[in-house]
Amino acid sequence: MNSSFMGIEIGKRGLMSHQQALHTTGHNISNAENREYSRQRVVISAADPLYVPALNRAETPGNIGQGSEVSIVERVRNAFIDDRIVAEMDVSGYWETKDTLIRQIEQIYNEPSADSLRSRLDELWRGWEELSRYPEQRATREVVKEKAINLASEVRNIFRQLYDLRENVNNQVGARVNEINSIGRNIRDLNVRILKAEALGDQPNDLRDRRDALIEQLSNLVNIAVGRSDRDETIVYISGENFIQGEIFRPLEARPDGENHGFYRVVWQETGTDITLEGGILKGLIETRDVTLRENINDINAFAVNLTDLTNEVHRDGFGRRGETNFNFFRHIPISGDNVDGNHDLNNDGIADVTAIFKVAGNNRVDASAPIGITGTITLMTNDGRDMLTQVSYNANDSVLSVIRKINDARTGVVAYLDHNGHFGIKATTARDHDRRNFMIRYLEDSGQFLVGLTGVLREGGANGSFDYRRVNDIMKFLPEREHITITPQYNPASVMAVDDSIIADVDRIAAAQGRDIGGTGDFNTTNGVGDGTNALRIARLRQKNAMVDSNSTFNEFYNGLIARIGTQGQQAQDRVRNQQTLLTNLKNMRESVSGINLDEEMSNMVMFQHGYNASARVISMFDKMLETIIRLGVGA
Amino acid sequence: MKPALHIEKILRQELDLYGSVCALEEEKGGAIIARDGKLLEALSVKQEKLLNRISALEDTRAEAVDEFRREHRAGAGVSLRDIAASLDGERAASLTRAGAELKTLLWKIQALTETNGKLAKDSMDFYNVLLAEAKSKVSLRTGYTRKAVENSTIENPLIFNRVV
Repeated sequence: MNSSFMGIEIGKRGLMSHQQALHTTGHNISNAENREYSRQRVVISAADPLYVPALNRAETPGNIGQGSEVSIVERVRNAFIDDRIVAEMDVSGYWETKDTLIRQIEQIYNEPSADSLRSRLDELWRGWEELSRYPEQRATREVVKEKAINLASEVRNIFRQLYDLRENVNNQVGARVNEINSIGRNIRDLNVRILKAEALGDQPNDLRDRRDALIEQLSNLVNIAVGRSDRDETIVYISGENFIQGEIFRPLEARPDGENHGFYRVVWQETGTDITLEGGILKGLIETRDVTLRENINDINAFAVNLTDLTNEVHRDGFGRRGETNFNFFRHIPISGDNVDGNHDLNNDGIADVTAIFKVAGNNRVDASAPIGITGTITLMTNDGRDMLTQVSYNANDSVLSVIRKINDARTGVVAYLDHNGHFGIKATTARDHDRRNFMIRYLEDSGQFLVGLTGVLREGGANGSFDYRRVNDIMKFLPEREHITITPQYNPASVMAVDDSIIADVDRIAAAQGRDIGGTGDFNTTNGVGDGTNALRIARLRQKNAMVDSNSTFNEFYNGLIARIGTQGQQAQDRVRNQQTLLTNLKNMRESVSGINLDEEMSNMVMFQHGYNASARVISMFDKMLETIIRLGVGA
Repeated sequence: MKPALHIEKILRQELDLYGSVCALEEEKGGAIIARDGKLLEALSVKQEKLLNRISALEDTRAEAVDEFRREHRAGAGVSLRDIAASLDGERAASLTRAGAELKTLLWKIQALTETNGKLAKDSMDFYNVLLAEAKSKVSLRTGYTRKAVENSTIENPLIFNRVV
C-alpha cells in the first residue's frame, strides 16, 4: 500500500537526481576548454515501481512509480574516432619530424646564396680558368688557392653540420624512447586505477579521458594499436606486440649499436629484440638519421673525395712555376695511415685485414671507341654486404666506352671512366652496406685481357690475378705504379678536405703548366715553362667532365642533383604534413561534435535541470501541505 | 620535330594538365569536409575531362617514344635518361627537369587522392556509426499488466521507428 510519505520520497529523489545532473552540467562547463575532456551525461531513469508480481501484493493497480534515480554518469565518446585519430597521429608525427629535419638539412646547404658550396665551386672553376690565361701571375695563383680554401672550408662546414645534426637526431631518439616509456607507465597506472573503480561499479570517466589523451600522445611518437575488446584490459600494441596490457607494461630501450656508429637502436628491454617501427616521430627520427642524413653525408664525402682525387690526378701531371711536379693540390689522408700499400685494420682488432684502394688508373692509353677485339668476363663484387660476385662480359665488337658503360650499369660499387690522359680508370663509390667500407674497390678479376693487356690495370688474368680487398697486400695485383693508385681516403674525407700544406705555403707549386716528353720516355718530364697554363685549363675542364661517382654527371650536376633531391623530399614532407593536418582536423572536428562541450546546450540543460529541481521541491512542499491537512484533520477530530 | 623534343613538349603539356588536376583534388578535400556533394560531383566531372585529355597525351607520348626507339635503335626499356642523353646539355637538363617535375607532381596528386579517400571514408564511417548508434538506442520494453497481458512499448525511437 502506498505510504503517506511516499510523495515526499519521490520529491526527494527528484531533487537528488536533478542536483546530480546540475553537478555534471557544471563539471562539463568547467571543462569546456579542456581538449582532453569528453562530455558527460547523467542518465536519469525511473526507480523500480511498486509492486513486484507476488501473491501478497496489494490489490491496487500497478505499477506505481517511485520517482527517479541516477543510473549512470556516462562519458560521451566514440571509439571509432579515437582509433582513427590514433591511426593517423603516427603518420602525422612521422612526416612532421621529417619535414622539420629536412628543413634543417636545407638550411645547412644554404642554397641559393653567394656563400653556398655551389657558388664557391663556381668561383674555383673560374679561378682555374683565370690561371690558365695568366699562369705567370702570382695573383691568379693566390686566387686559386683562396677559392680552393673557401670551397674546402665550406665542404668541412657542411659535413660538420650534417654530422652534428645526425648526432642530435640520435640523442632525440634516446629522449623519445624515455618519453614513450614514461607515457606507457602512466597508462599502466591509469589502467590499474580504472580497473579498481570499475570493480566498485563506478564510471571513472575523467580517468578514461586522461588515458585516452595519453594514448593519443603516444600514437604521435610511435605506431600503436589499441585493443578494447576486453572490458577489463586496455591493450596497447606496438607493431603487433604488447606494450601495455592492463597492469603489465613492457618498456622499450634505446641501446647503442656498435654496427651503426654507436647510434641507438630501439629494442624491447625484456628480450633485446628490435622493434619494427612503422610510423610516428621515432620512425621519422631513425629514418632521417640512417637514410636521409647518411645519404647526404655520403654524398658530401663522395663530392670531396672525387674533387680531391681528380684535381690531384691532373695536378700531379703538371708543373709549378719553378718546374716542380708530382704534387697534390688537395690534401689526401689515406685510411691506412703510414701504410703505403693500403693495408688497413677494418675490424679494429689491431691487425690489418683489408687492402683499401679507392682508385686505380691503368698503365695504357686506350682508344675509347675502337673495337677492342678481345672477349672475356670481368668479375666484380657488390657492395651491399652480401659480397655477391657479378660478371660483366665483353666481346670483340665492344669498345672501351661500351665496356665502361656495362661496368657502370652493373652498379656494383665501382665506376669505370677514362682519365684526362685517355687511360682506363676504375674507382670505388660509397658503400651500401657500411660507411666504414666507403670508397673501397671490393673485387676485380678478368678472365680475358681487358683489365690486363689492354688497359693495364691488373698484372694477371684469371682467379690468380684477382684483386680481393679482403686480403692484405693485394695492391700488388695492380700493374700501375703507386702514383696511379689512390689509397682509400680517411673515413669521412669531407671532414678533412683541405688544400695541401705545400700549396698553401707556396702558390708557385700550383701546377698550371703542362709538360713535354723530352727524350721519348713516354712521360711528361719537363715543364713547358712559366707562361703555360694548359694544365690549369685541364683542371678547369673538370667542371664539364662526367666525373662524379655512381652517375654520369659533372660535379655541378651532382651537387645540383643533391640539392634538388633534398628539395623534393622537403616538398613531399611538407605536402604530407598538410594532408595529415587536414585529416586530423576533420577527425577532431568529428570528435568535438560528439564529445565536445557545447556551452549553449549545457546552459539549456542547466535551466532544464534547475526547473526539474524546483518542481521537485514544489512536489515536496505540496506533500508537506497535504500531510499538514491530514494532521490538522486528526487534531480537529 | 625530333622525338626527344616532342617528348619534352608533351611532358610540359601533361604538367599543365596535372597541375589543374592537382588544384581540383585540393578543392575536393574542402568539399568533402564541407559535406558538399554537389561541389564534389562538379569537381569530379571536371577532373574526368582533364584525365581524358591526359590519356590522349599519354598515347602521343608513347608514339613519340616508339619513334625515338626506332631512330636510335634502342631496346624496349627506354628511360627518360636515355632520351635526355641524346640531347645537348641544356636541352637534356630541361627534359630531365620536366620529367622530375612531373614525377613530383604525380606524387603530390597521389598523396592528395589518398588523403581525400580517407576523408571521404572517415565521413561515411562516422555517419554509419552515428546511425548504428541511433538505431541501437531503440529498445523494446515489455511488461505484464494486472490482467497478465503483454504490453509492449518502443523507447527512444531517435531516428527510425522500428516496428517490432
